[in-house]
Amino acid sequence: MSRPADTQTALLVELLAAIADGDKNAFARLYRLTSPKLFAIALRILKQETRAQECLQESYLSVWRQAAIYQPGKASPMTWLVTITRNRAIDLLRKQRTQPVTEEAEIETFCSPGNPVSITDQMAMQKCLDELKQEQQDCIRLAYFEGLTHPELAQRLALPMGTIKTWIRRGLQQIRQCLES
Amino acid sequence: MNYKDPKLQEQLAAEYVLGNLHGQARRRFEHLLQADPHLQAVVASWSQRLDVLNDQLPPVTPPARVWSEIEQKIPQNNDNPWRNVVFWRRFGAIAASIALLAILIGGFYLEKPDTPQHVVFVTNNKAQPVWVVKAQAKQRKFRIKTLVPTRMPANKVCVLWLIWDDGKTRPIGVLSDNVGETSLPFPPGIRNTPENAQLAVTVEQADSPLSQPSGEVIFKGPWVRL
Repeated sequence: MSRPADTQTALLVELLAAIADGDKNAFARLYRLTSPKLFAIALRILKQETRAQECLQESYLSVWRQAAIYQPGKASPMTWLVTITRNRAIDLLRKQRTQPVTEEAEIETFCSPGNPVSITDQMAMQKCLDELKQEQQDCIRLAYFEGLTHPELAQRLALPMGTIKTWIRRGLQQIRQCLES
Repeated sequence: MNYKDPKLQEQLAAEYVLGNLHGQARRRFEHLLQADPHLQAVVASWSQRLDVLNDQLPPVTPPARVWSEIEQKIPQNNDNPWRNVVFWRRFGAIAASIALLAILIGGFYLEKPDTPQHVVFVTNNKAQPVWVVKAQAKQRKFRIKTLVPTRMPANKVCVLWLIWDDGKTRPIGVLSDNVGETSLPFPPGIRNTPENAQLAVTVEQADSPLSQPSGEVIFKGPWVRL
């Protein structure tokens, strides 16, 4: 994916419109362009290869069915696709927590040089994240990628729940102020 | 809690996207989200911001069989007569034929020429109207005329939805397969003529509850005032 961000976005919007009209070739192309990112997200959240594949499959079937209701003015196509995948992964994760984990995969995280499409955004966000206390950063990543609730985060980090809530709330506020400044 | 407070909206939207709202709080937020375009925009901007965390993940190409399985699960026939959203993009071109159709159907909607009438023509992919839906605000019901018989796969039905201008989607009911006329009441809470609303049709499992659309969207279009 080495296209400039807006060309990429325009292409995805066009592909989604074609998918809404039942164009399977457009669907295959969208899959080729976006599945490596979405699969990485599903793997990071679910930590199991087979679950992540199941998640990816269900997410793309939703995309096929729901493409007609995608509204370009409301969210970028990539954000829309990520939201579908994340929501499905978090649903599966909650189901998974009630079942014993049998197949754990080692997932490498946070070591990529990043996606060149959004390098400027990524650098700004990274800078804003770095300005937070390390514990706040950990809380935000654990919540985002592991779908942990406040009590679960409190238990994992051996801290009172009130502290966790405050860290997350303030951390998010700081990120917003920092990105807007 | 004052959910109109912009500070609170920001905070809840961020926690929602982070995956930190659970149980009843999440359901309550999703309920508010459905009806509030501003809140939807706040959520979208947080989704976009936090998506930067995903950019730090190395992309992973999924195994080829994932795509083969997806391909097997989508309809094999490309000429699906129920995929016709494109029709509305060509609306201008066939407006004249709709006017003609109005004359042919006669008395169905033009009961009182002085009362504004709102209709939607639900068409197939050949731009042929299959259902005509007319809103009768006084009686708070929709009159629906099935113009041609439809053949639905076993255990599937076409469901009509009202997308109000608050962005909320409300079920109206199941569309009849048989030629003839039926009526369905306005969804609870809808009183006036849904001029700014849109209609959508999805294909749903016959036994699934009608709360939110989950099946394929085969039609979406605005009301035409006649």
